[in-house]
Amino acid sequence: MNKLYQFDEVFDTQSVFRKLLKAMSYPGEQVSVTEEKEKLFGNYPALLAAAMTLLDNEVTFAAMGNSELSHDIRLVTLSQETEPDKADYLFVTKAEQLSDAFASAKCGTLTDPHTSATIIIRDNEALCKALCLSGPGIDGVREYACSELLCEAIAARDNQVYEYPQGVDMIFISDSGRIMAVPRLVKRRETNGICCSIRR
Amino acid sequence: MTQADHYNYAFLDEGSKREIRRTTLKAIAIPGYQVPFGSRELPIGRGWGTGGIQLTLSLIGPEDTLKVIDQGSDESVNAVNIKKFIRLTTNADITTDTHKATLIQSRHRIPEIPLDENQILIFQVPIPEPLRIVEPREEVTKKMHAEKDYAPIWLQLYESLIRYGKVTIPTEYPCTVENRYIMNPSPIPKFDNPKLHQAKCLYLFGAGREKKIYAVPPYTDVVSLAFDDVPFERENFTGKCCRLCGSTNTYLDEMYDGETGERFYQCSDTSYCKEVRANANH
Repeated sequence: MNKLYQFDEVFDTQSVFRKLLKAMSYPGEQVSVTEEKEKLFGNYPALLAAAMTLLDNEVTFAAMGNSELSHDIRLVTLSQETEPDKADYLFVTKAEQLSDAFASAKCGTLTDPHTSATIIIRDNEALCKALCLSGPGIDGVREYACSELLCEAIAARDNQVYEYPQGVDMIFISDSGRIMAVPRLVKRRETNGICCSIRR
Repeated sequence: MTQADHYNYAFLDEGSKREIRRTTLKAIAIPGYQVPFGSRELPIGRGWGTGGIQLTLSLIGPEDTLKVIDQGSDESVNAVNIKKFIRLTTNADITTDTHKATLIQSRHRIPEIPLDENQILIFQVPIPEPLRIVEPREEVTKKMHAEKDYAPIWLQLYESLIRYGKVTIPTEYPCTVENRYIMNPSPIPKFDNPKLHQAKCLYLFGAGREKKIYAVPPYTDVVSLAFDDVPFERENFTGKCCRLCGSTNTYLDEMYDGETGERFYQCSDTSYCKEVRANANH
């Protein structure tokens, strides 16, 4: 029997999870799932690696109109696609979908903030910006190299003005398999009056 | 074929692991908030570390080295049996050396050696709700957390001060995480509370019986409750030292010799105590 993928549902998902855990625990730090995503198929193997690690028929997702990604996720996870305002995981593959995704994503309630959505964003490869972040997982205020898309996503999130503990958590995954995460408590910090600057 | 071959890697089925993993990521995103999860049946009774075991089983992989401690000891019955069980279903490396461990499952202690960024400490938690002592109803405590209504627990501290002249909570001393949630730091002694503050490692808390997971991410503010004029105090071991290694800066267990009536003290963290003695011998 030929399998569609070589991704191991026990060991590769464990490996991807530990990297996601590292990324969420140390926001701004980069981890890589390049090795694991090579075992998957389609145009979005890195996103699919995260989906296979986190999604199943107990949770829902929204692919924001990307029918190929939606098909692949349903095929390998048995998770059901739903409207963005009901989805537990939102997959954003185009920059222009960011504001819609944040406007519709569940942010949880003050009583049950864990019912909020996680937004998984297909990140650009070029780390052309420098961004100062602070919050849990970051030792003081630190500067990180990031993509322009990540800066835009944080700005889109901040526009929603969530009342903590409500909010959404973001995971950025590039096509090469680089992962960065920005949980809801992590904030931009200005340096010299600038939040995002061009990386030197 | 050994009996372990009948089970999935790390005992739990992949669906269970996925739910625990989703819950864990959410717990990290909301430090100190208790995230509910579908606690699974394990071959040990609930209340014997099932929350910690489920976390460990959902985290562990072939690259990991596991250490399990119970009240600081690597050799107590609970720790030995949990190690055997996890070893049987994962074939993971087991160690008693805190430096070598990537995953440390603990009941009631944080190791004396500061943990670093590639280590995760997993607590077994019997009662995750810090407000349970002042409010028995779950729906009410959830609302209190939502509204940040922590007056009753402050009142409890105040009453303790009025009655006894000091705060008498010895373990499970409540603390505020990132200036938002009040959290029960598992039944660790007050001595260990400061180790949670701005630590380099990730702390995960699993309560299997109560079906809750919560977390303290690295570099997070964790402040033990105290009044402005009555600061937080740890256990005081002034004038006492470990009878084996002579340490004066560790959490000490008090031992009593029934025949001679002698009291003596010994490091609770057996791995640390051994390390100090080994270094002294070289």
